[in-house]
Amino acid sequence: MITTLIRYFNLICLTLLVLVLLSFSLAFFFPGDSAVNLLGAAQIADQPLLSQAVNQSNVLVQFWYYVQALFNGQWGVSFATGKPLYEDIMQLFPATLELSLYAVTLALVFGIPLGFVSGLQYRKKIDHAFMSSSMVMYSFPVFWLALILILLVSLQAQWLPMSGRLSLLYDIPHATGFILVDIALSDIANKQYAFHDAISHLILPTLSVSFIAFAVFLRSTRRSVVDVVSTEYIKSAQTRGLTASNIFFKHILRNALLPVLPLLAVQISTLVTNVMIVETIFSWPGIGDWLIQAIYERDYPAIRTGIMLVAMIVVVFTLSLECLSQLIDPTRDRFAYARR
Amino acid sequence: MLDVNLYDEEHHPSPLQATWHEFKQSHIAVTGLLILGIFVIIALLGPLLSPYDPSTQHTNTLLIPPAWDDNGSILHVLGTDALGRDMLTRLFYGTQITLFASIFTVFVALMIGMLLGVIAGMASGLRSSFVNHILDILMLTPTLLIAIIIVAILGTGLTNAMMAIGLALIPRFVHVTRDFVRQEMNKDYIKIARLDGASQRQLFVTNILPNMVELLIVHGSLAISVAILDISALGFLKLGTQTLQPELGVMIAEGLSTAYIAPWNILLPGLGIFLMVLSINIVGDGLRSALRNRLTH
Repeated sequence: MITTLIRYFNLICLTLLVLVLLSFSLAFFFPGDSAVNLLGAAQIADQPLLSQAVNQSNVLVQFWYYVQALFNGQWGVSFATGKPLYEDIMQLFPATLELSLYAVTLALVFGIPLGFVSGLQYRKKIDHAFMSSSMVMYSFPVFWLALILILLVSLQAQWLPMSGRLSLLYDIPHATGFILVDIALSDIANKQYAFHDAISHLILPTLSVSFIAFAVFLRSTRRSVVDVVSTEYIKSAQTRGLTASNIFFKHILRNALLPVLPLLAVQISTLVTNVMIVETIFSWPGIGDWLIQAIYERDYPAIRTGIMLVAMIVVVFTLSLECLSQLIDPTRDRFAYARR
Repeated sequence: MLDVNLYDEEHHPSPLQATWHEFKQSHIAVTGLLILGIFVIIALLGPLLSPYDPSTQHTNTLLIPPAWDDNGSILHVLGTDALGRDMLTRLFYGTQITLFASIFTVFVALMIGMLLGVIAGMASGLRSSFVNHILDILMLTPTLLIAIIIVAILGTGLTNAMMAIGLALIPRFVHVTRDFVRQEMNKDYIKIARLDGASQRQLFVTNILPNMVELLIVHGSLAISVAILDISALGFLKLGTQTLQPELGVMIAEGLSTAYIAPWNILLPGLGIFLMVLSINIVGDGLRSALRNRLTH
């Protein structure tokens, strides 16, 4: 177990180093002066480490200072606004995390139980219904789905707001960045109205993201349940005369959940893409919307830092999930690459 | 005496025929294949059928609703957009661009991925570990991030979008090929071929590849649906195809400004993407279960 932990820790560190190296080299690949691409302006007074990195002649020394600057939160400034990137990103990042968290939770809470229902009813009517509807669901282009939701729910029926995070009526101080937590912490007058407003803003983006993730979770859970149910040990459990509920809870449930965790890890990158697109459509003030704005404005420092950060988060989440799944189930060894 | 000798049947179905036989059992899969066929025909022949040009603007026919609407005109069966361009014609051209760009991207990615997968599958030791971890990391990176990097360096355009999506797809094929090759390399028929003195290249080309073709087709078809979704998403975000080309995602982005008074401008191209992806998913799923059934029987 310790070996697994060390190996994954090693892998995460190496990957992060590669990502930092990539973001550093992006400054040279982007059009324009590499020093300006790193800093975001010709001169920055309050970011000494990053300025020092630019002034070095040796690329390796530059990289060393760059890594130090990253650790100290000196990420350069944005071309477009001139504000430090670190503060910008720290403001935006929780919004994205909040949206993804709710969407994944929703998809998991509905996807996995329904996947079990579908898998246990293999090749029956319910299974066919679930399978065909989930096939339809994951064929939806996420941006089209979001637009249809806006057209129907916001424009036609006018039930829910179509963009933003909170109505301008409420002035919530930025504490954690999670809007619901912030409202709970704040001491404004009409708290429940603010809650209501925040949730009504959340519904449509969350639904659009979780719609597709739900279908994928349902299908993969079903597959793994079907695989488990058809194994010999379930048959032998049945011949021993165990009750259906006993077989389900003792044998099927745990074994079927095992392969779901690594599948979850694979889904993270698709999820991030979908979250970024949905953020743009709903003007959700998160990192995805910000990154896409940055590419429209050719804001190279912002692109460099934003991409590095999002990729880091994806890598850390995915590898931790894989590490967890291997700790739970040591039989599946991902490090068999070298041995074969 | 009977003419037909039941026990001496000459005909054995080839693997491909057997798969097709299994595929035919599912009516949904066949329907999906039909719809996909219609899309391919539209993409090939559509531009010839339509009397309009996809980019000619008719200023006296702006935002005409589809023909079944009271204000619709039979001259523009699916209506026109905010610049008076015929919707049906643009859908034809859009299907062509989106579908063929995706198929081409997947084909190139599949070829490169297969090659790398064979190398990764046949290699062992440190080199294998290194290659595989690099590929895993590439697979983890969201498509949109790769696209943003490529757009920032090379600029926007359909080719660059295809490059980004291809880059994101390659690791999938590497994974599939690698796992398959590794699994086959331990089987007896490969050992026999090896004892006969076959080189690595001969082993792959004559022994492993024929067994892998169907697997690659299944994964390729599913990758096409992913590629269509990604190409249209990049077009929608104005990171891929540019405004002049009638790509389906770009058409949705253009329809946004008039979405309230002319919802068909975003509904119809989206429906096109949706149906195309759905039919490919159905066909891919049908192929996969046909293959599974054939191998288990």
